[in-house]
Amino acid sequence: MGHDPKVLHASGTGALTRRVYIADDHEGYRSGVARLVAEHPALEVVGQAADGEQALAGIVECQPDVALLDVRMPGMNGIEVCRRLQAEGTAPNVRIVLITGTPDPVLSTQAAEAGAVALLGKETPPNTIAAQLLAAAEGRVGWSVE
Amino acid sequence: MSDAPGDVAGALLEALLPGSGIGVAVHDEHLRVLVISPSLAELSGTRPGEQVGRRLTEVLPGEVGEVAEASLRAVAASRRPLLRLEPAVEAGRERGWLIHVYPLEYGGRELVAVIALDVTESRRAHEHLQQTRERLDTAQRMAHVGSWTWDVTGDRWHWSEELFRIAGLSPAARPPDFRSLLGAIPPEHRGAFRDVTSRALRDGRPYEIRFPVLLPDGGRRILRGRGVPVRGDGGAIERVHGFAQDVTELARAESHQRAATALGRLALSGVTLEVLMGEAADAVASELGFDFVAVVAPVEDGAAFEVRALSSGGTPFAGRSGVQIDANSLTAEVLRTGETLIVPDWDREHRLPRASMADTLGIRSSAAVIIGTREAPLAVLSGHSAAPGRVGAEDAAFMATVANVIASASRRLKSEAEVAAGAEARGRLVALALDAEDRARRGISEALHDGPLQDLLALGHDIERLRPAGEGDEAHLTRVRDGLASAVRQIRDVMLDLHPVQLQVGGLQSALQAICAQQAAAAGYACAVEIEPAAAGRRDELVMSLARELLRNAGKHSRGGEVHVRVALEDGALRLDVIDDGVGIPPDRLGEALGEGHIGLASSRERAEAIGGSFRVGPRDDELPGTQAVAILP
Repeated sequence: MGHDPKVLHASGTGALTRRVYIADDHEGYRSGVARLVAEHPALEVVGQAADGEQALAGIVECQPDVALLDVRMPGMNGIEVCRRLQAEGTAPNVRIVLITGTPDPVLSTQAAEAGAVALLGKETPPNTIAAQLLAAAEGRVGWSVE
Repeated sequence: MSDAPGDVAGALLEALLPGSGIGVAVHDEHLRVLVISPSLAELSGTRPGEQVGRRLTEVLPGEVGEVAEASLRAVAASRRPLLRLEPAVEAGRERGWLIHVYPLEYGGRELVAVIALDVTESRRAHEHLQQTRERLDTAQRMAHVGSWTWDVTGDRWHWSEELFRIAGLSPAARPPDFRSLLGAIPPEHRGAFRDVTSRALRDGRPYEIRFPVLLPDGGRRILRGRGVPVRGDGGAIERVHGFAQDVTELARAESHQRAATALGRLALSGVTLEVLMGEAADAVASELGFDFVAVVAPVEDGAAFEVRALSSGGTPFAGRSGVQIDANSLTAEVLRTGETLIVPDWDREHRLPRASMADTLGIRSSAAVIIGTREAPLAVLSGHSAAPGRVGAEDAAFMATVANVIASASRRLKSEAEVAAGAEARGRLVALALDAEDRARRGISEALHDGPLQDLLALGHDIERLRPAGEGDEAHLTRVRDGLASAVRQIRDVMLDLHPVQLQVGGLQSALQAICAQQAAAAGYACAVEIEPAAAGRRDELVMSLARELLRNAGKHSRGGEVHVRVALEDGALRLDVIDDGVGIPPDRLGEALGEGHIGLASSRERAEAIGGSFRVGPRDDELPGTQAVAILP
């Protein structure tokens, strides 16, 4: 688990790709998302993590364009990772998209307050997730809940 | 003496027939009978003719004649009159004669005359009166009641003998006047006595008053007096009749009873045993006029004793609790026997060894009673006086009453402590059981979240990657997607019921909102959640559990349109309100529901009380229609 700092910043076609970091403690879900990101022509996975602490360190190191963080993870949860990044300013250009298996309005509010640009439910279709990540990476998303 | 006067006298005397009640006789210088009336002859049991010319020793039998003639001789010799009461028996009835023997000068002769008055009836009346007086006096003495009459106009008093005794005066003394009477009353009580008396003299109504009097020997008694004014012919009040009763003992008993009752009330008020013992020591000292009262308890299995309480003031031990005292003491003896002990005078005491403190404190008399029983002694209550003979059985009886109050309080406090310990243990068990249940629910919920839910969600993504290969595949895929979505929803509902995972991430607000939304959707009401920020994070798990139960109840029973959940801090404790605008709950319904086996609310109450909190369900505090459940959680 972790990230590969040597991954390219551009796709093989020469078009600019957006660098995505994925953190989720559920291996099956995380790998599924990683696959769909990898298959997306404008996105690439630059790192993965299975808990909050690992994600915080990886994001700081990889400086991705966008990070998809599961809300509920062992140790530090996704919202807390988001707060820490905002507070510490160690990844000023990364945009955070949170994802949860149990969405609710209060969580949405807390996600927004923590500095995330979107909160997605895990049942969100893969294409929509990919689109949200791309939009977030390109700064086209204000705040959205899916 | 010539015959003519004698004849006249004789004729006169004849008129004094037996039964007239008057007898007359005249004796000559030789004490012979000159003349005698039939009535007097009757007294001596002879006829008049038989006595004339003869001396009494000749006509009266034996000693009677000797005594009678001795009287005549004494008067003849001394020429001084003699008055004597002569009993006689007539037809079996005792009679009384008042006999007056006196010298009679007649015609130059020195005669002796006798006049006898039959005083049988007056004597009987006198005796009856005397007996009545004696009986009255006895009754008054027994009842400690004295009677009096006050001649108001002359300020003259008549007192019965018992009243003299009550006042500590000799019956031979003159009764005091009103001013002297006032002087015997302590100054602080004189005004009341004067007022009551003045009012009675004004309105003429009977009156009653209780007042203390100071005795000449320095003692003090409590009297209860009653007076009845009597008006004269002119309508003015001339006299007052009344009685005065010595109620010193009664007043003392009443005071003892009041003191014992006050101690009993104090015992029930929840004071500690130490406080109660201190108050008891003071009460005994005050009521009985003791110089020193102690409560001493055995320690170290009776090997030593410890002072638990002392009466206040004036003793060398005052304020020094916990002083070790001699085992060789009155206290040790009472503990050993369980009996009440009285030592009237330590200087004459031979049964018990003289206690060292008796010398230290100058104690001369003591009494001690056990608090508790010989088998299970709690302490010994002892009272002491510097005066010999001052402590008696009545004092010991009051001390025993006080000891019973302390013993009862001790038993009650012990029972309460046991009940409290039981309740605390039960509360701990309930809390443990509820914690275990919460842990189990949380574990299952998290397992569902981390396992099946995530698997299904990941599976959903995989399904999205599938492409229909043939006709009908799209419909199949749709059914699979729908089935997956349904399964996800069901798992989420179960998780919310068990334990909202939102609590870990989103906190109380998030979790309560989620449950509220779930229950509101199921029951069809609108739900609002209001949480004071400082109230979150204190007892989130318990608040969630109670709120879930109450929201479910609101959905089942309230038939209301809105439910309001509020969590706030109140006096340092957490307060959860769940308020609906439904039909309300009848006053007895909660009890009935519990009786019918609906344990949800009972469980909620148990959970609150297990941590020292409270729980109630009833009408809304704002008196609007609906129900309000309130849980206070410290």
